[in-house]
Amino acid sequence: MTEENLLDKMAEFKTAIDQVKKYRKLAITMIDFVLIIVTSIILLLTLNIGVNILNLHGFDISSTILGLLPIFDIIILSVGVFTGIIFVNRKMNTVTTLQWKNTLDEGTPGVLKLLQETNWENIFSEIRYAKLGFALYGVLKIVTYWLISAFAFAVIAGFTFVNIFHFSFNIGSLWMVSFVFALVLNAKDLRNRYEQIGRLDSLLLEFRWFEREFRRTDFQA
Amino acid sequence: MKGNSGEPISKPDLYVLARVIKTLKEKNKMNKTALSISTGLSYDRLIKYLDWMAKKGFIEFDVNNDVVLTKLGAETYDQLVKWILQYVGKVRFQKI
Amino acid sequence: MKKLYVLLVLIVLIATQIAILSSIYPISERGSSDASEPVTVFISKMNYASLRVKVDVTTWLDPAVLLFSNGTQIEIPASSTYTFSVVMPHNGFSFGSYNTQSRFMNLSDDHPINVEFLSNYTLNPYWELPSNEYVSSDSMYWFTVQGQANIAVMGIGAGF
Repeated sequence: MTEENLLDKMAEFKTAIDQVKKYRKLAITMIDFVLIIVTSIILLLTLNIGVNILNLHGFDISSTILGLLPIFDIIILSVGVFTGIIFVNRKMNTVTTLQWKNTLDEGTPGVLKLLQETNWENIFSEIRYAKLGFALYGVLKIVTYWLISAFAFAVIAGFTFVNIFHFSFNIGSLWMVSFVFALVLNAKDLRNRYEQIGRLDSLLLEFRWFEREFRRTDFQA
Repeated sequence: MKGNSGEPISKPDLYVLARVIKTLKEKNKMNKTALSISTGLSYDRLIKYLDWMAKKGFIEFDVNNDVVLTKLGAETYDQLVKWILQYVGKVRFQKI
Repeated sequence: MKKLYVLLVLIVLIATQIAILSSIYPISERGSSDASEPVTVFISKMNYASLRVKVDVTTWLDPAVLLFSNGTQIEIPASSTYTFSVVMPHNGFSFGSYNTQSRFMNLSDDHPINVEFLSNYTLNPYWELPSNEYVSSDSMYWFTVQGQANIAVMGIGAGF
């Protein structure tokens, strides 16, 4: 291995840490994502309650609007999810990366400086947070897809099964079908997340080994 | 110990040592002022490091008082690179 | 931590909203009468519930007669629709669980609003009406249609 390889290796090391920082930010931002989704659910429930109460008190709400209510529900929820995703991405993009580039351009002295400055405990904590963020985001994504598909299936089933074929459908079956649908849509993403969490675990092990070995030895000049 | 006070350096910062040696390797020899500017070290701090390095045999001063890297200095730098490579080289970073 | 408390409050709010929504009942009932079998439509509710419905009585080839409980009657010409609204506001609080079943009324906590179509009903419903804190005479409304007609009762009710 040459000095050039060393610089490449160090760039990989710092890039991995930058990625971990982003995933840690993802973990912290999860609560905001949930708050946005929950707020959109409150909005759609408020709309439903409002329309029904206005109807009860004699305001002539047209049957078209009443019929379109489930569509509005889906739109509100989808907008909430979209807003949540944009918010999370914006937060992740605020993470500063590549700050180490100029130092690495110094060559081996830069590598030394970066290694000396590395706060290992911080990195281990960030990797743990990154794993949590990754897993949580995956779960939330499935739950959100589940909710949206349940609404969509309810609308479709209402128009087709009930109005055209006059079958009644069990609400439990609707939830089950939409859950499976959400899982199928996210199958690839779930697999990727599982592998990614494994890679973060490996990274943690490698860093722990490195930190232990590097701190133990002392270059004797 | 970074040696910011008037006392000599007891344990040098490897980063500073590496920067000084690397600069001397590239330029062959340099006067102290130019070396201070190239390495970004304050003149006083540089003098302390140069005293320490001279005692260890990593550098010497020629007739014009310019700083010259010795064979031992060059070999020590190569050892440093090898030492880091020994550990960094073993770490496997998977793309995440 | 503060965000978690906010989330808790919002979840409680959602649970409350879902409870309110599940106390709202759409009403959509249909029936018909003919010349030989007049139909009496009973709209009943628990005292604590409220409802607003629109009744459409649509005649076919022959006219029909609409008789209200106060004795008023209206003749509906052939091939036309007569529409009127029935509003029954909340008229009392009550605690505890209650249910009652009779020929013209089937009320419970899960089902505080009811619409029944009875053929050839000739009795006075007040004789059969339970009168207590849950159901009173103000909680029932009826009318009779004589002659061939389709009757639709559509609207909304709530358990509050």
